[in-house]
Amino acid sequence: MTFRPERILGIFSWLAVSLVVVPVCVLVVYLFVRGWPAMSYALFFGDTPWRAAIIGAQPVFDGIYPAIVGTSILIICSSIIAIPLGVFCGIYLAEYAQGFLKSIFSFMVDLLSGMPSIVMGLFGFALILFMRRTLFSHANTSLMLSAACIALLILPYLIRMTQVALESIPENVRLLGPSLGYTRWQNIVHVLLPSSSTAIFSGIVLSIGRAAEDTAVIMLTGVVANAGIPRALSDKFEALPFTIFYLTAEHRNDLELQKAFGSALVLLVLTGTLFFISYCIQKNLKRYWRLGE
Amino acid sequence: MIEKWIERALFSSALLCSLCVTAVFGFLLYFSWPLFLDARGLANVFSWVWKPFAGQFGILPMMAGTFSLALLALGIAYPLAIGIASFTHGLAPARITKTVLGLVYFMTSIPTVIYGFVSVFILVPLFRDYFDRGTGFCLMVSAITLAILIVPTIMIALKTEMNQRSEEVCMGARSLGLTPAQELLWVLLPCSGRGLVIAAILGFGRAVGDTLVALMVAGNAPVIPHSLLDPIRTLTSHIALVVATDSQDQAYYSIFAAGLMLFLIMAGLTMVIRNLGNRFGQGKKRHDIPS
Amino acid sequence: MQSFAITMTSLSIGFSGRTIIDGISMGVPKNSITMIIGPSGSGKTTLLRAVNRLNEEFAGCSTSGTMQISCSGTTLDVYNDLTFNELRRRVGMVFQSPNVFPFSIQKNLLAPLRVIHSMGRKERYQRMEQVLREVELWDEVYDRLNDNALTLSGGQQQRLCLARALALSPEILLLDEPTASLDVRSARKIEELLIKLKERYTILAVSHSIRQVKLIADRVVILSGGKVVRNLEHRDFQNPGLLEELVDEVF
Repeated sequence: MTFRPERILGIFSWLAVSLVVVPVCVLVVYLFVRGWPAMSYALFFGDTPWRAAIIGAQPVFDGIYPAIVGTSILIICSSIIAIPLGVFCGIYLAEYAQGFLKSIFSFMVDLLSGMPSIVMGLFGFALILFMRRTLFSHANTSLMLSAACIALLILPYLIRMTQVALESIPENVRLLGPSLGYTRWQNIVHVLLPSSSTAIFSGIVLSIGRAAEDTAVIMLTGVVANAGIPRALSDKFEALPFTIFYLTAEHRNDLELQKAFGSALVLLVLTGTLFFISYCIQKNLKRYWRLGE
Repeated sequence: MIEKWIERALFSSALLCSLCVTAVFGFLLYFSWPLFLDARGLANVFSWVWKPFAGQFGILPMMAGTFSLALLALGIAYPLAIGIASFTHGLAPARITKTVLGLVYFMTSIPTVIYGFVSVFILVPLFRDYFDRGTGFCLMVSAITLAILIVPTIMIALKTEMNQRSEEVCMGARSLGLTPAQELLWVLLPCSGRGLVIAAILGFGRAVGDTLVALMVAGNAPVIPHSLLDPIRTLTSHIALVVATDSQDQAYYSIFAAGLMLFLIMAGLTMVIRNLGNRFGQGKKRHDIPS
Repeated sequence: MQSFAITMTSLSIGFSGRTIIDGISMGVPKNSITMIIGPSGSGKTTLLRAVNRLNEEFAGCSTSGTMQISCSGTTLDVYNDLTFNELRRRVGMVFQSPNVFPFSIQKNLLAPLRVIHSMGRKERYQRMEQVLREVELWDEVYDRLNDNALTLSGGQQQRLCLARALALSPEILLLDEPTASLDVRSARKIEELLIKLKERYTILAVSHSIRQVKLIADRVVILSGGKVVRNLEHRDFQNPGLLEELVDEVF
């Protein structure tokens, strides 16, 4: 029997797969086992009646409802900022930008996508410091600021997704508009965007997942452990990932630990669902375009 | 002309994005600028001692922490990612491959805070009891957790590259009678050289940029690690910790310096990747032109 | 009785239920050039790839019938007696467009030798020089063996692919329109080589050029709709105009 390096590669690859698959399965199972018992009315609303909690008549003290609301508002606001900007940027990069400008802009996008989220957070924090020193001495970290920084964080994903979706449209579809006498913009609106809309949509869903999970940005820009439901965009707020982080370090009793496990499970289910939606879209997309992987 | 206006609007959105990046850099520079004017301040920040109450604000231990953690995590994750990429490239039956790929993509959607969270409750007690030294919050635990976190990043980058290369060489290799494993080892991996480098850099960048895992399980002691069981503090978690505790002005300078460091590291990595990618692109073009 | 290197008996191949090859039975004589021609979509490439079972690398392929190859005196059933790898080192293949590996010229030849024949270092270098001389590439590249194979011209790349197949000492060569992507001069060169090589190998090739067929083929198989419609011996198609007439009829 001669020495066969490729056999070692085979064995090693099985080993590598099990070394990664096992921990991830353990992680998911562990969260379900520990988090499931915590799933109760009290986890979400504490002692507050849910009707009163939802219309905001009574504050929720022990539940994670305010954190869920905070995360939701955060997602919505950052999407409102980032999605149009990202899609426009992507269209510009794919269809208009050329030569030197294109390479500059795409370098900026690469740079942005490489930025650690804590640096985005630090940027928001610096912005507030700057505003205080100059015109607005009352400026403070808030939901608004967090949303803006999160928007900056997910912007590169949106830009790249849009750009790639547009650039991978097959030639024959791309030439359809011009052959009918469409202008460039008409071609984009009536041909290119509709035919890449599913891909762009899946990019949007993915980036919402990012917005929901990020902790480092909001830590520096306005999240707190106990804020209740934010009344305005200039309020401080609670968020699911931060609740998990905070309770991990600071839980004082078993109840709070339970709450941590419950929130972790809720967050995992949330991001998992978003991932699943995007995955299904992409799967159908592949069948549609026959793009291959 | 409406077309012209639309183009201008699109252009300005691209410009706005670029301005944001410039603004991030600008603010970091603006707030750490006072340090660069004062040689003593600079020496203070770039020193090995972090004792804010004694007026010493050195961030070098955090640099050491960041690099040791990122390199260690990369060292664990990189072979694993190569193993998985090979696995999904013909070493396993199609159905298992699909499941594994789906799982790896799913891993990208698991929040960082959850990796840290589970690690705190499983890995940390395990290390504490097994090694019976310290609290269990240490370099090794955070490196393992971070490795699991960056495996999908590396593996997806590798896979993209290998898929592309595979189209070029697959038929040739098969017609010579190479098995999938032989093809991988002797043809596919050697000719995805740049992809291997790019994947490593992406993984390294992800590890350097991560905050939550380091913050939750690395122990956060601002000292230079001497063993794998020592606690460490990274640049990222340093920023989070200092902002969380209201500190003096000098401390703020040091976190902006830390932020600037992170920015420069990432910008450097991005440039290396672009450079590699460009040269790579040219190589491909040359191949495409029929001669 | 002619001795056949490849014998197919009612061979059928389909992809995802669509039949491409429809019950073909034929033999490929030893040490000769057999060429397959036919309209596009007639199954030429599939028939060729059936011999080294390359079709089975694609999803949805189903095969029925038998195929035997006779190598070094023994007759082997392609679908039962041999593993993919044993089969493919006996049956070399060259593709339509040159698909050299993006390595250096010498690594293109040395790596397969090392992996498949586990040859020693010295032996490998000897074999490399031998096959490069065989395809008349040696004089052109001996001083730049470490250059990337992609820097060679198309014709040189194709000869390198031929050398790579020959290096593993197959007995049968499959050529899928080997000159289709080359200019006239490079094509001539390959054709001359093939005439020389049939002394020692059995060659089964797909071609798109009647000129080429007339020039080098010993036998011609005309394929249409997955079936063999004509089987011509050398003396048949040397009649001026006959082949052209048949081709007009079929295409």
